[in-house]
Amino acid sequence: MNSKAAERVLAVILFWAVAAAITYVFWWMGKMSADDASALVTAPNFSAVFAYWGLFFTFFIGLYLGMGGGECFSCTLEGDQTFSPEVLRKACGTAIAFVGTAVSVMLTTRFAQYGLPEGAFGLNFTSGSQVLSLLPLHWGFVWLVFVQHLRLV
Amino acid sequence: MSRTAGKIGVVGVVVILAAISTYVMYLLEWTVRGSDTAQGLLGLDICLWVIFWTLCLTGYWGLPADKVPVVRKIVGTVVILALGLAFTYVFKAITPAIVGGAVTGKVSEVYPLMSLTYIAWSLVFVMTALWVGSFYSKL
Repeated sequence: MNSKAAERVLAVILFWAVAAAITYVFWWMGKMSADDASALVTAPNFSAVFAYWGLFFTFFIGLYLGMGGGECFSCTLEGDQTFSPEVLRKACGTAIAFVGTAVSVMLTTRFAQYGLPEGAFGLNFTSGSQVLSLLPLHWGFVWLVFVQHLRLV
Repeated sequence: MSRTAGKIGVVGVVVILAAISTYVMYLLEWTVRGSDTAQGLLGLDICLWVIFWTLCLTGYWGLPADKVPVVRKIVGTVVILALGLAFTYVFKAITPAIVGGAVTGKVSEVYPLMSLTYIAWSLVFVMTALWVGSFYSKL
């Protein structure tokens, strides 16, 4: 296997390893809660949560950061160049997207409380299948597309 | 002008395909029905199918374009949707072993997010096709 093919295989493993890790974190958060109804990853939504996070990291790591041979494949450090402009640009874009996502998730969950009769936490579409675990990635998509297509950095 | 007509045509096809896809989900009873929350989930269903077909036609097919390898792209699209279906069922089957709970019984009752799960996996494969297409143009 040549080095490009190896990087592509590693990229796919990375997408799904990160997706699995985040799914596990959301599942673990539910486990830590005493209330079963607030579980974030349950039988009905586990597959969707894992798939959407895998989709997000395929987009973020593969298409935005260019790991595995995309647009940014050659943006590695060269010679005495400590930080290449491309790496800095991607790092800034990623930081903006992550901060924007955190703020957006915080605001939308905050406002969602007022939309529910009991003042419940998060966006509860159906009992036992909260979508809070899907909220960050949807905002992440929005912010990454924002950063990339509006060329914020 | 013809380029503009092409773009409008693509938008029209996206809307039609999204409507057909959502209707198929409804016929299969993969959507949530009869609850207060069903309308919200149906809206999400429609939105995600629009996103899927937009990515598929403009990203994977590259429309509007002068020359498109139609047969290859049709085969690719069918493979994407088939892989999405396969992964939906595989993960539905293995879910109880991973997170517990039960998923057997009437789909709309025990697995209410079936349609969203199927779109999720279909989006995964169309996004993967876009990623692979960024370094391998023969996909």
